[in-house]
This record gives sequence, structure tokens and C-alpha cells, in this order.
Amino acid sequence: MKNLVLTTRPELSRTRVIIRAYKKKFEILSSNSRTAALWTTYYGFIYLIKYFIRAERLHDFELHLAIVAKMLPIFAAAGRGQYSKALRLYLEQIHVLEIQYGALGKTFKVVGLQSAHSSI
Amino acid sequence: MKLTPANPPVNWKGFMKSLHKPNVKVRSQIEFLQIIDQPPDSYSTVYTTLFECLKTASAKLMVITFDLPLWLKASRIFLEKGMPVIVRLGGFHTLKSFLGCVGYIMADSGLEDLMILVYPRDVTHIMDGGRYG
Repeated sequence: MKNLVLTTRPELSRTRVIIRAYKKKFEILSSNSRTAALWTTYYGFIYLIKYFIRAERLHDFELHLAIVAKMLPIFAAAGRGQYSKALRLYLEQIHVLEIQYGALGKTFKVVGLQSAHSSI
Repeated sequence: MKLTPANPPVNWKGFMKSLHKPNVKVRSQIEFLQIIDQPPDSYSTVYTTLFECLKTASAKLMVITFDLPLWLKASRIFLEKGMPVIVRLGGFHTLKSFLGCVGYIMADSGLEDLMILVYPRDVTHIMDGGRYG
């Protein structure tokens, strides 16, 4: 109990190894069969959804932007014209933001001012 | 973080608090503002909202969230007027629409049959993103 030290590093690197192995397996599977390719794509969608929710809940704006950028081609592919248009404009605006407002824009991104914090 | 006699184990809330001490965020103040009794989709209502929010916030830079149709209008207004505003696109409706996209792409792949095993009713709504959660 005395020597309990919390470090997440070894676990993290282990997860990374597993994720890399997953990706490799997925690539092999999807190059072998078209059905497998469809389901690995589906897994990709679910991954995006999970990370989008994570970004929203943790106020992680960088992650939010990265995921939105990845979502954009899928919106376009599914024929959601309104959203693919709006998301493109949105990404453009946010990227301009940092140039336009300098340090303020940066605080906005880092501190997570975009969402409400209900308790300390 | 180390557990020592000087740093005794505390309950879960206290543990999380001490763990996240360096990056504490400021508590938000949440209040209801006056309702603008106008059609919500007109440009003037959106402008009034932005204007009033700027007046209330009295900050150098303001963040406001809109969902899609209003977002287009709001971003047009703030670009034309040069307001110090960041207009965010609401996450929930984006995600709902994204779920709809996934349903559209995965249509007739057997995903519906899989879903029906778990949710006996309303699978069509799950597939078009109408049902979230």
C-alpha cells in the first residue's frame, strides 16, 4: 500500500501495441475479402463515434476537430450535403480562429472554454 | 502520485480531486436568459441572440453553440458584422446525422438483422439516426 505509484505509461504502450496489431489484422482481412472490408469500415465508423463522444465529454477540442475532419468524407459519401458543407466551413473557421485571435484563440482550444463545467 | 502517511488514502472524490489538482477548470455560471419571442429561424432573431449574448458576456471573445440551420445563419452574420464570436457547431445533432450516415452506408448489410436481435422494435429509426442513446 505504501509503495503504490500510479503510472499509466506501461499500460498505454501495451494498448498501443494491441491497437497496431488490430490495424494490421484489419488491413489483411479487408484486402482478402470485400465483406470483411465492409465490416472493418463499419468498425472505423464506430471508432469515430466513440471518439467524438469522448471529445465532447472531456472538452477535448483538438480531438473534436480531428474527429470532425475524419467524419467529413463520410457525410459527403452518404449524401448529407448540408452537413458536409457546414462541417467544411466550420473547420475552416476554427482554423482561421487561431490566426485571427492569437493567444485568445489558443486559450479557447486548450482550456476548453467551449463547454460548461458544472462542478469542480 | 504516491500514497504516504503524509498523503493518506481518501475517498474516491478526494482522490480524483487531488489527482486533477493541476488542471482544475473554472466553474461555469449557468443562467437562463430572456426568451426572444420571435421566429427562431429568422436572421434578425439570430442577430439579436448574438448581440444580447455579447452584451451579457462582455468578454473579448465569446463562444456560442448552434445547430446546423441556425449555425449557417449565425456564422454568416458574425462574418459580415465582424463580431468577436466563435460559433461552434452543436455536437449532438452532428453525431445524430453521422449515425444516419452510418446507417445509410451499412444498409442491407445485415446490420439491421443484428440490431433486431437486441432492439426488437424501431430498428429503422436506429438505422437512420433518429434514435440516439
